[in-house]
Parts: sequence; C-alpha cells; structure tokens
Amino acid sequence: MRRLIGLVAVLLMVALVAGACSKPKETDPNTDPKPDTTPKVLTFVEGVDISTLDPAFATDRPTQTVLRHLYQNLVDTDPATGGVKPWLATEWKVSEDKKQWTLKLKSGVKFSDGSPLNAAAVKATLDRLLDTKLAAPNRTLLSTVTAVEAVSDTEVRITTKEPFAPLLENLAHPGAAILPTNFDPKAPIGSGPYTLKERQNGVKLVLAKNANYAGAAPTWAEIVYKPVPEAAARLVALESGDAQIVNRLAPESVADLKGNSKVEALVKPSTFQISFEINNRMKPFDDPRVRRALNLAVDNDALVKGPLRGMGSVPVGPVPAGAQWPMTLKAYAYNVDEAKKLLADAGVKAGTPIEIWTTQGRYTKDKEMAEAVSGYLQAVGFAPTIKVMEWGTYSKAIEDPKKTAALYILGSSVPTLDWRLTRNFLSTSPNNYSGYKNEAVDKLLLEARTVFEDAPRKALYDQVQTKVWEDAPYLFLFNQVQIIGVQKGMGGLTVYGHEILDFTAAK
Amino acid sequence: MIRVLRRFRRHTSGMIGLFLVLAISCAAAAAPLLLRNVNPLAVNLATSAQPPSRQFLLGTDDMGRDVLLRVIAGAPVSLTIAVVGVLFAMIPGIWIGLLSGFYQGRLGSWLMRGIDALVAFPRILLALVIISIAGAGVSQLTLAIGLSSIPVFARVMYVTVQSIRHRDYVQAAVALGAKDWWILWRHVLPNAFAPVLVQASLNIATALQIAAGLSFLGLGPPPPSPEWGAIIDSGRTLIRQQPMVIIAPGAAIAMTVLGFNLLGDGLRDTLDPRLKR
Repeated sequence: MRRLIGLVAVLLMVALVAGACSKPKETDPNTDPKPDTTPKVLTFVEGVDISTLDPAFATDRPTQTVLRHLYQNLVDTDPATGGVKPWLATEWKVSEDKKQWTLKLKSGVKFSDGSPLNAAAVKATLDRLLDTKLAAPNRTLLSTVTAVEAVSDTEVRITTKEPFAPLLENLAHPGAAILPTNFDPKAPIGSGPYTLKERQNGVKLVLAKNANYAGAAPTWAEIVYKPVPEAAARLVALESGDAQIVNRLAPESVADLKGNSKVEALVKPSTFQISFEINNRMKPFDDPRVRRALNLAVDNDALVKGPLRGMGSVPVGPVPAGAQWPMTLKAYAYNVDEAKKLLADAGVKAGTPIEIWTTQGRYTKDKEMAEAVSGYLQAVGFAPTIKVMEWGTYSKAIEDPKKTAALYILGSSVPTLDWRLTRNFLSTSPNNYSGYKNEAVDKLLLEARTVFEDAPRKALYDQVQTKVWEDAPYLFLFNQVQIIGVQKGMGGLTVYGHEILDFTAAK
Repeated sequence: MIRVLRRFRRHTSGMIGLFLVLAISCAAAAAPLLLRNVNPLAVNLATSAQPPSRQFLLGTDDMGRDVLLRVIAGAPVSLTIAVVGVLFAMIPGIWIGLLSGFYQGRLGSWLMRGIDALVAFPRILLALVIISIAGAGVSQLTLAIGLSSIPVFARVMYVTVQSIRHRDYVQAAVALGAKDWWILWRHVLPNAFAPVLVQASLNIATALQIAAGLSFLGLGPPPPSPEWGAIIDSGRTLIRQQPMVIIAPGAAIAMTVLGFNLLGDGLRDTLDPRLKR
C-alpha cells in the first residue's frame, strides 16, 4: 500500500513538473479564429481595491479613477495646465461682489437610466455633499458655499460666504461629480461613459458601456478593475496577457521591460511629491535651521538614482511640475558640512534621537526611503530609530499632534494650489499634521482665495512656495513618476498628473 | 553517557546536523569579530542593487549594502531569537508538564486543559497575537516565539512523566518515604529530559522559521536590522534584478533549519533506548 502511495506521489510530481515546464500553446495573432466576436474587455490592475462608489467619500486616486468612468463633473482638470476646463458646464460668470457664480449646463446630457442631467440634479448633488448629516470627507471642497439654486433647467447659481477664487478647481475634484436626484451608492447612476455592471469586493469590478452616454462612444465594451497588491504579481498579470493595463509598477520593471516585444512601461509625470514631514512642534525641529539641515543632509539625487532607478526627480520646490503653478527654486543640494554647521549653530548635540515613522507599500519604496534617510541622518550626528507601521494604523497615528515621530513619510498629489497648499501649510488646516505655522504664509493663502485674476493669484502662491521652501517644514524627498504597464501599442490613454487614468479613448 | 555519544557518532545524519549547527553557531559567534571593520548596516546608495562581483561576493541590496555581510551579521540576530525563545519556553513548559504529570489531580488537569487551549491555536497565529499586543521588535519577537512554544514542552514533559511515574524506581523511592521534590529532581526529571532535549532541537528549527516568517511580514526587528526574514522582505522587489538578496538569507535559513532538524532526529534515535536495535 505504502509503495503504491509513493508511486502515485512520484507520478503526480512528474506530471506537475512537466506541466510547469511545457510551454503554453502559442497562438498566431494573424490566424486567431474569432477576432471580434467577443466583447472587447479591458482589464486594468491596480494595487488596491476601490474604497467606495460614492464620490462624496472618494479620497484615494484608484477609487477616483473608477469613478471618472461612471460620473462627470461640472468642470474638468486640464491635464496640460493643471487648471480647469469646461465639462458639463460650458460657461460660467462671477457676480460683481464675487460671491455668486452662475454656471450654464450643456443641454441634452442624460444619466445612464435615461433621466436628464439638469440644474435640479446639480443642486441635489451639491446640497447632498454639503449636508452635515452625510459627513462626507469631500465636504471641505465646498465649505464656503452657502446656497445652490437652480435658476432655470440649464442654469445653476452657487453662492459663497466670501469671495472664493478656487471654487471651480474644487468643483473639478472627483468628489464633486454630478449625481441624479435619487442617488443610491449601492446602485450608482451617473452620466459617464460607463455604468456599473458587477462588483465583488476585493476581487473585481466590472463596468459596461453606458447606452445613454452623450459623448464619443468609448473603445472598450467592458472595463474590468482588479486589485493586486504585489507589484511583481501585477507585472506577471501584464506579461501573461491577463491585463491590458497595470498601474504602479516597481521602478526596476522599467529596465526589465525594455526590449520586451509584447508589453511596455509608460513613464508619466506625476504631481505626487513624497516627503518626510517634519514634526514642527517638536524640539529641536521647531527651528528652521535644523529643518534646513535635515534637507541638506540627505542626498536626494542618490535616492533617485539608487533605489528609484532614476524613476523620479529631485524636488526643486514644494509644488512639482504638472501641478497648477509650480515654481523652480534652488534645490537643497547634498552638503554634509553645511548641515553639520547649521545643526551646531542651532545647538543640536551629537546623538540626538530622531524617530522616523514609515509605512510599507503605500508609496514607492517607502520603507527603503526610511532606511536610507536614517543612514544619512546618522552621518550628521543623529541617532535615528525606524518604526514601520501598517497603513491603517499609520494614517491614524500621524494625525496625533503629540506623536513621538520627528519624521514621517507622506505624499501630496493635489494638482490645484489652493487645496494643495492650504491643506498642508495653513496653520489652522485639519490636515496640517506637521504643525507648521508661519503667519505670513497663512495670510497669503487666505488672500489668494479672494483674488480672481490668474496673474496676481499666481504671484501670491509664488510667495507662499518661496517661504515654505525656505522654512523647510518637510524633508523633501522626491517627485514621483507614474509607471504604467501596457500591452505594446496601447494608445489614447489619458493619464492625469494626479494619478487618475481615463480609459475611454484607449485602444 | 559515553555509550550515547558513541552511538551518536555512528549516526550519519545526526552528525551532519551537528556539523551544520556548529558551523552556523561559530559563524554567528564570530560575526562581530568578522565585521569589526565594516558596518553591514551602512547605507551606500552609489552601489545600490549590484549583481555579485569580486568586491561584493553576493552582490548588494537596494541600499547598496553587501548581502554576504548582512547575512553573516544576521546570523547572531536570528539564532538568538530562536534559541533564547526556545530556552525561554522550556522553563515554564517543563515545570508545567512535570507538575501536572506527577500530581495529576485537579491542578494537573487544569494546567493541561490550559495548555490544550493554547495548542488549539496554530503556533504562528499565537505568535501574531502576542506581537500585535506587544508591538514589533527583537524582544517582542523572542517573547512571542517563547510563549507560543510553551505548550509543546509541557505536552512532551507531561506524557513522559506520566509514563515514568509508575516505574518501579519511582515507586520504590515513594515507598522509602522520599520527599516529592527529591523524587522529581533525582528520578523523574533526569529520566524525562531526553525527549525534551530532542524536542528543543526540533523546536529551534521551527522557531527560526516562524521568526523569519514574522520578520518577513514586518513584525520582527525594525530596519535596518539584518534579521534573515527581514533581508528577504527587503529583497522581494529585487527578485528579478538581484535574486541573491533573497537566495542568500533563504539558504542560510534552510541550512540552519536542516541542521537543527537532523540534530534533533539524531538525538532522538540515540537517546531513546526503545529504538535501539
């Protein structure tokens, strides 16, 4: 009996090994038996599953990528300038006192269920987002809005408490997507090119063509969204042909895929800037000299060339290229002597402990960045310790103003300057986790909201950027790039700088 | 004793195991001496992810650190976690098994039911729970390995003591009016120790695997520690470019685990008189 079992086991192993070694049957693309009879399905693989189908609650880019195919906004982010361009609203004007906006809607647009997209729907959407009972995280986009009225079927009037120049930019945010009056997040209805066909949490999400879509018909009959956490596994999904597009490949993959005849890696600029935010409330990091010293002590160029394999760039300002009005300032060049001098001037003793927090797998090489920075800081006399936390715990822990971390990794990808800069650098912002406070910056940021002409508004943001760069509230690490793997010859894919993809015209 | 040693020397696989264990222990002991002039933790991004070369025999990792040096530097860390963890488990495990095996009764059955409850959970799950309460780090990992190993030793001791308890020499000692502690110390413990020793050797192997596994999941010592599991984790993204970052610590773990397993098998074969031919 035992010998029989042994024999079976051996046979099984041989069969398995043979199966693994044998090549899959090659199919000749020219003689493919049925080229166009099956519906064309685009499979897109991301690192995480989407978190919601309700725009009001969508705060992460993967979710917003999916929502972009289901819904439309009044205005759209312009991928070329980082500003806004017409979408559902074709034109708009601002009243004399700058507190009333009148937007004219495109006519003839329908939701996927056939109901018309009119001023009433816009009012219902914005009122829903503003409803404090909904307590949506994206409510802050409209926090200055006091009233939304439907003037006529195609005209909407939005009233703000104070003059608020960034209103349109905020309306372009995926969180302000226009929904029907009877919106139900479980069975979402939108006016986008696709509708929801099927959703299995954590497994896949299927979108099908929206028959009532007003714009040019999309290329793919169906889009399948699949979450695969491991970058290596995503690459395999692309290489095996299971996926047509995969997002967030590892930097190493770019060199790997060079010369591959079937798949390629697209490297696109991103508005994502990764930093170790410095705990500005903690001594001795409340001293700008110490924070500047930290920036000088780290060789950003080596970080980009080493672990990132050149897939990124050295920051030259707190706002990277591709965002609304980026500025090129003087990079913090690697200079150990200067850093040591600044630290000595500020009275920082050798062996000062510095606690570095990081998460793993959220940002490109985040844990590795912590290790590298820890090495650099040791070289200028600090005694660093690293704490690695899982993202859920981490994102809560960094919100605490009394956190023991001196440095913690975080990225910012907001393309429009009001939201990006006030979120992170306004001293009263709930998202200003570093505790950075500069009264001049606060004043400039609030003033910029009341300036409606581009040139003087930009001038104010330029001042903010210069001051922030000098104060160095963060240890600026690198500007990310998006590495998207596609089947060779894929074109028409729109890639936004803030890491949202649009597959509608991809082919 | 001499007879046992002689028997062990004839046990080929046991000797191979002993040799592996000794070799790795020596490497671990000599690691601080070998690495006194180089820092295996120092980051040098200029040499990031290089393939094996004359300068770096096994290449470098993402942070430009020599993989060979890191694996050597990791030996004392990984071995200490496993060995200290198991020693830590042996003391309470042996006592629980000894007392409940000898006294039986209510105390014994309560203790053993408690141990049974622990056995019901897979060891790695138990260790995970302990770490999620105590946090990640070397001492916490050691503690987790230790606490999760207690049931094994308690069970082995319990079963052995139960079989010894009714042996003639124990009964004779009882009849002569010897005190319980004396009987336990002189008669029961020495005779029940062999299976525990075998178990310890086998257990170090599993402990090492669990420690490396937990470290791989980021539950071990924080970076830049060269714990073997942590090195494998850091090399995960480089699997196509620089597979040595994974292969080298993986081989080290495999060799150590094999060594302790063979040693344990050898000890069992030579210490257990019933297996004598």
